[in-house]
Formats: sequence, C-alpha cells, structure tokens
Amino acid sequence: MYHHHGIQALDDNEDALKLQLKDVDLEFSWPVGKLKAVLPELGIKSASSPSSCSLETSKAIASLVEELNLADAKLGLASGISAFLWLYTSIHGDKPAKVAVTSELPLGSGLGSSAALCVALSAALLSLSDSSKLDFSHQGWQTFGESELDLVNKWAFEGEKMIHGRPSGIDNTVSTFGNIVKFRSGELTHIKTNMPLKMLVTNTKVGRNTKALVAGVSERAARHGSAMTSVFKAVDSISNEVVGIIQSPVSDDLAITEEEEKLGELMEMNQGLLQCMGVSHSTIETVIKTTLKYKLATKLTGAGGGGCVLTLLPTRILFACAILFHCLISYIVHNLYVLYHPEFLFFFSYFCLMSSKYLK
Amino acid sequence: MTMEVRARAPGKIILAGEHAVVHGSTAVAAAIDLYTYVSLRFPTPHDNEDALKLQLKDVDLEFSWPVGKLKAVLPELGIKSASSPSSCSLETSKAIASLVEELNLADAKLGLASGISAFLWLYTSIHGCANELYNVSNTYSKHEYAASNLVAIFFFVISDKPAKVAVTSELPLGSGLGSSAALCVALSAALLSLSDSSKLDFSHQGWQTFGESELDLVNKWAFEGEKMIHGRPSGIDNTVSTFGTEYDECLWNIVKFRSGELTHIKTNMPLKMLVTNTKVGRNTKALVAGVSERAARHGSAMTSVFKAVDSISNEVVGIIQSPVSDDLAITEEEEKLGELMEMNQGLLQCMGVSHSTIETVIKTTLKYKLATKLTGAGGGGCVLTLLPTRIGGRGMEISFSGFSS
Repeated sequence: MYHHHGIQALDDNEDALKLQLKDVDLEFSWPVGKLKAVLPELGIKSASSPSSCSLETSKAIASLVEELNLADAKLGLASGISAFLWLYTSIHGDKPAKVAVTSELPLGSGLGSSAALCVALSAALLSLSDSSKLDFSHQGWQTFGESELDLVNKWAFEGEKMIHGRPSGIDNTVSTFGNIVKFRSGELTHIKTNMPLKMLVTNTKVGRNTKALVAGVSERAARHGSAMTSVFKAVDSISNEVVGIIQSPVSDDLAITEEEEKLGELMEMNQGLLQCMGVSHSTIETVIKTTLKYKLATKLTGAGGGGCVLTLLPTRILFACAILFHCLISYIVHNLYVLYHPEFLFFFSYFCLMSSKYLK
Repeated sequence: MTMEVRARAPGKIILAGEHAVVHGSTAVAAAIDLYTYVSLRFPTPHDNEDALKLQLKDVDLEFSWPVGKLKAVLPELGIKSASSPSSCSLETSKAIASLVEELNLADAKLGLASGISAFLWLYTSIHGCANELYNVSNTYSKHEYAASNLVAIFFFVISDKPAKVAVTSELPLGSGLGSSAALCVALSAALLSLSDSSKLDFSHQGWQTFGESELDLVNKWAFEGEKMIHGRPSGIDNTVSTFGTEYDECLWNIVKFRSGELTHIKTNMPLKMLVTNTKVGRNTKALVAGVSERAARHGSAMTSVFKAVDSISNEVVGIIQSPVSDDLAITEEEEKLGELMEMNQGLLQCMGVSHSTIETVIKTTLKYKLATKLTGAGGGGCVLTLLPTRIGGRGMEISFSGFSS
C-alpha cells in the first residue's frame, strides 16, 4: 500500500505554495512571500543536513497552520500539514509549487500513514535537490541508492518528530527501505526471507492519539518499573524469535505450517503483553475473539487503542477453496453485524476488501 | 451413639501470580468465606456396617466400598502412618483408579473421578491403619472421654474401619475458587482429628482450629490429595485453605507464596472483590500443562513473563501491607491495585489461559472503569473485579448475562 506524492513546479504567475490533500478534498495555499517573512530559518538550511525544527520555527509553523482554521473534524491533519511545511521549506526553500497528496493508507490507523507521507515528501523534494542522482529521462518508478535513502530517512524522521513527539523511527525507516526490518535502539537490520507470509489487516476504524498511548506506556513503566522492564524484555525475546522464524529456510509445506504455528503463538503472546502495557481496546478484542473461533492468531499493529489489527493467514487456509473463504468472511460479518452498531459496516467493508485483496 | 466429626475449609481467590507460581514466581492468595464441609460419621456396632461410604450431597450421589475389598485391593493399607504424608505410589494409584472405574460414573459426572480418587487415598492413608486407631482409643481415654461405649465404638472401628463420609460445599466445582483443595483440606482435617497426634478437645462445642504444627500436617496431606487431582499443583490452594481464616470487615488474612514458602500477611486495607463465575468448566491439569509447554517452546520470553508476574505480586503485597489512613490514600492504593490486576490479566493472556467469557466480563467491567482479572487456572472459571470504596453502597447495574456473581 502506497502513499503518492506529486510536486508540480508552478509557472511564474503563481507565487504560492499549494498543498492539495486529494483524499479529503482539501487544498491549502501559502503565499511564498509570507513564508519568507514568517519562517526565520528559510534558506539557511541545507538539504543534505537534516536537523530538528527549532522552537522558533515550530511556533511560526504552528501559527501558519492555525490560520487555516481547520474544521474540528480535520484537526488531526494539523500536525501532518506542519510536517509538510517544515520539510518543504527546509529542503526546497521558498519556491512556489503545487503539492498533491493521495494515500492508500488510512490515517492514524497504525499502518504508518504519517511516516509514509514524510518519506514520500522527503523523497520527492530531495529528488529535485543538487545531490540527487536520479535519471529524469527514465520512465516509471526508480529507487534511490543507499546513501540517498539514508538522507530521505533522516528528513522523514524529522517530519515524524513534528507529528508524533517521540517516535521510534521505525515507521519512517521501514517506509524508506522496505522489506522486513529488525529495529533496536536506532539500529536497523534488513531481513531477507523466503517464507511466504500472508496477513489480513483489519481496520477497527477507531481513531486514537499515538502520542498519548506512547506516553501512557511510559507512565505505567514509571509506576511499575520492575514489572514493565520484564514485559519489555519478553517482547524483545518474542521479536527475536520472529526474526529467527522468518529467516529460517523453509522447504516443504509441513515445515511452513510448523513455522506459521510458532509465529501465530508469538503474535498471541505479543498481544497479551500489549494488553499488559494497556494499549489494547475493546474493538481489537472483538476482532481477536472472532478470529479465535477459526483458530487464527491476531494482534494489534502500531500504537493500539483502536487502529489496525493483523491476523496471520496460514497457507493451509489459502490452499482451501476461495469460495469457502468468502463464506467465512460473510459469516464473520454477520456475527459482528448482529452484535454491533451499524456504523461498524464501514469496518466490515474494509475487512472484506483487504481479505479479497490478499486472496488474489 | 454415633460419633461424628465435622471439618470445614474455605475456598480461595488468587489476587496475583497464578500459573507463574508453578514456575517460581510469587503469588498472593486470600481465603474467602465460602466453605466445603466434610463430616465423618462412624456407625455403632448395631448398624452392621462394613463399608466405607462417600456421600456427595450437592450432586446427590453416594458411593460405597466394602472394607474387605479395600483391604484386598490396596496394597499399602495399614503401612502408612498418619503423621508422615507421602505421595501415592503408582501401584496404589492404579488400584484406586480401578476402584473408581467400577463406579461407572455417568459421563457428566466424570469430573468427580479425581476427587473421589483423592478421597480414597486420603481416607485409607490417614485412617487406614489399625494400630493407629488402637492408639486413638487410648488417647481419648486419656482425654477423659465419658462414654465407655465410645471406646467400644472405637474398638469396632479398629477392626473394620467403615464410615460414612458426607461432603457438601458452597464452592462451585472447578471454578478457580479452590474447591478441590478445600475438599482435601477438610477431609484431611477431619481424619487427622481422629488420629493419635491430634490435640483437639472433643468435649468442646462448636468450631475449633488446629494448632500450627497440626495445620502443617493437614496441609501436607491435603497437598498429596491435590496431586492426585491436579497433577502438578503449586500447593497454594491447599495452603491458603488450611491457614487462611475467614475475613471480617476489617482484617484480611492474605498468603504470599513462592516456591513452597508461604508468608502470612495481615492487612487493614478494606478490599472488596466481586467474584463472577463464568460457568465455563475447564481442565486445570491441561491449562497448567499448556503453560509449561508454551514455556518450553518460548523459554526466554516466558521467563520474562514469569518475572513480570513475580514483580506484580510483590507490588500487590506491598500495597496490601501499606498502612492506610484516609480515603484519599485508600483510593490511590486501590487504583494501583487495579492497574496491577489489569497487567496480570494481560500476562495471563500471554500465557494463553484466558477465555472469551473472561474477556466478556472484563469488557463489561471496563465500561465502569473497574479492573478485572481471572483467578485460578483460567480458561473459564471465576473472575475477580476490584470494587473500589468510592463505589460504596450505591447500587451498580452490572448485568452479566449467563454468569453468576
């Protein structure tokens, strides 16, 4: 699932920076002259040296965003727009442009939509900078080289900081480099795997505040240091086991099934630990309860408190008839519909969409 | 005149640490004021009884074994000493298993089999020795028992040892409240009260409690009985049932348990728990084994999980022991306790012993911002909800459909 970013250099009659959020049908505009006046560091920054947003600049940006008078329902976009302004003006300065954003990723759902925004934006902006080695005559998608990706990642991380406060950096790193990434205290390792893994991603459609959830865990750790240290240690062991399973060479179906069972158990254990940390949610529990009836392992992904949920689909199920699986889905839908408010229909449609997508 | 001995033992709730306790973590348990009652009745010579009868009043069942058959089938009868508890040998457990099999229990009642096995083991081990009972009669004459016919009864008992044992309980079976342990404790207590080592005053009316060393013996025998029922029990159930006394409004008797070592904790903290029975039966042996198997598959992670539970239990002990002065302090401590219960529940989920019905109760109580965790083996069974003092006497509308609280 991707995040698309288009930057259009405008002709001389335009003297504004425009941001078009296609998925929510919103467009914002800032006259270039105003940006020059309000942002003190404009033109000082170098695209090749990412740095954090200073307090002065973040205040200036905050006031620019405030002036947009976003509707209450759209306030969640504020931090993303702030990150946009910071990244754009830092990497590209005060040149007018029209930036269009569209995404396949639901916002604030644990799938890293904000990181993908920052990465795509940084990549687009850096591709236009002097240090870029991209071949613009080439048709179709290209990828950056290792060192350029590194630069993209660093800028994207700065953008993430503006949105999330104290992010781990894993979101932007995975978005930049892709594939499977093992991450520990800033150190990342790429993992290559032959193991075919299929996950069903379900969006509970419950929004949540990542900053608050992350802070909540820290506060719980402060109140119960000894217990939480062990909890974090257990998660560390689980993650390392997951890496081990993914890296193991799998030959036959029997071996794959065995590894999938282990993986499923580790997912369930991780979910229990996330519950211990206090970041689960009743909707997450509902999905877990439902998938459990089919002996499928499920865990939340990302910040929790709602957001998205992963269910491991073992190959043994995928080998079954696709029609059978669709019956399964409609049974799940029926079960949940009967129990809950019709609003959850949106939840199901996403669920069904994802499951059919993964079936292909 | 028939002689009757009645003993009772309380059930228990585990505040923190179940399952992990089997792997060396600390657990905290408390006795509750629901009891299992065991009465031993010895027939007069006129009754012409020569069988051991077990009457399970709550399920309306009665079983009978001719004393002669017991003597023939059980190899170790008469060899054991009531003062030296020991595990049931393989030979004896096979013999007992065949005796229980012959009862032809209905499918629905098969869960009683292990309890009946434990009963046979405890009864024949503690009460089976002829020499022991001969000494008993001497002991009682020392205690100046009035009736000579009592002595006669005991002589009768010495030769044939029939008895009628009736069991009734306020504790739901297999629900995590320690019903099997309470049975073993009550039975052991009743039987040991008749042995020569007993120091009870039989002229005394009303309930008495054993002294410390006698309780120790009761506990050891009860543990042997628990082993027959549960395979690899931690021992906390029988210990709390033996030592934990009933609580009143102001004083709880809490037991901290770790690797066989128990510590009594006195507390002034008024703790109120709502106990909800999900009414889902489960196999404790299987659940305990399941956790061990998961620990074998994921050693490093589970070790940390058990360590986390240990920390939580110790924090619970700390909270319970802290002197509380005013309402604000109590509310603070209760909030901490609630959070620890929720954390313990998450860890139990990690171990794989939760259940959808447990989750349903948790979800419901969460709406009222109440903390809930399973107690005991999990997989159904009972669930504890902390009722903070702030709720007080105000009526609460909590409906647990299909559950009983």
